[in-house]
Amino acid sequence: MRRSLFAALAAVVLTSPAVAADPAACTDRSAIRWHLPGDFESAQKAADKEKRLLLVKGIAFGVDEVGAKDATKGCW
Amino acid sequence: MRAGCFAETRVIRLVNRRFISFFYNTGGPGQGKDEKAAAFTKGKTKNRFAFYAAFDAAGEPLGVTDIYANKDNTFDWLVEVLRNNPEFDQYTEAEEKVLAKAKAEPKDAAAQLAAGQLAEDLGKYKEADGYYRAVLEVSRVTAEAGDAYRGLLRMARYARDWKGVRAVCGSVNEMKEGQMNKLNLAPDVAMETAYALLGEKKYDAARKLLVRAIETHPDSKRLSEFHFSAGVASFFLKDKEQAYYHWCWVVENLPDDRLARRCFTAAAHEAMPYENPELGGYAAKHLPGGSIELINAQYKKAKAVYEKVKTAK
Repeated sequence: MRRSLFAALAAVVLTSPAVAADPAACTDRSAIRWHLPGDFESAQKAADKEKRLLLVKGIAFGVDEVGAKDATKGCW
Repeated sequence: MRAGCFAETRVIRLVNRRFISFFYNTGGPGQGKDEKAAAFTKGKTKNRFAFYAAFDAAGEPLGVTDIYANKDNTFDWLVEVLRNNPEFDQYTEAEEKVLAKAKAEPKDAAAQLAAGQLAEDLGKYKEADGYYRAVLEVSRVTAEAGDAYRGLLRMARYARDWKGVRAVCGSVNEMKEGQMNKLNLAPDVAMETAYALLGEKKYDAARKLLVRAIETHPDSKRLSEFHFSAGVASFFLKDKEQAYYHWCWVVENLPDDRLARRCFTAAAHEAMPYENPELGGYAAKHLPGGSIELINAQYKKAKAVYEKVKTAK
């Protein structure tokens, strides 16, 4: 009885569209590698050393505390 | 731009391969100000508050995008900046080896694939096409072949060549089912076909296909794309409840995903201070300016709809 209840619950969870079966498996974490605010000098040095152009994004809208520390999170 | 071009795979790959990226707060509220960056950019951009611009390390400005450039014209601009400044577009030693190996070993599928991916990243689509088709000449049922098909599908999509997308999908569908599953190409065929349907404004068909893909491929790395595009199809079908459901689903369940911010911005579209090119240029006319607080409040409303729809499913 307990086994069939567990199997039934598992079936509901696994077939439910409401939650990803495995977020780790289906998260696409690809992202631009940003130098963060406060770190402009190292960005400039990297561009010079690697002979690449510097892309600078100026933001007028504001940057929150989380976004200032992690380019993939927060608001900016 | 964060929800648009910065979340776009081909922009990410080109920028990471060929540029050094930096962002800072030019004068808005909150954190993230940078005096050295401000001095570096002073007087060099038409709009001194909001810009996306290229400079050499010495500070020479070499180009700037339109203020709210979309994901496609940003990519085109990046490629143009590199073509106009070839001294900053040189192959690395590793890249030279990739190209040399592809030239020396035309029957080596892995070598052809690596060269194809390099060419595609750099926006050299004609060259990439040649390399990807060389992979398929060697074999159509290897892991390399799967990636080559994906590359051909992406490039057809970038060109809005829906006939080309369908031709490649047709070629994949000719495989035996076991082979297609082994290469895990079904999610890609579904998503690229959905892009074609969206491009043709066949929103109902696109949504049906995407909902089926969500159910059939819950572990796919393209799950966020399925949901985002299902939301877009729902938006154009004037079904905002389902649009909010799909967009908020990504934000709430895949918060670290590449498309989480794009989905957040779409869910908060009624409070955004600029047009959303993913939503046909939707612009919220009644909110001049806008603020992080207003945007977060709008997302909260969308999330409430998501919770209601989720409970009902």
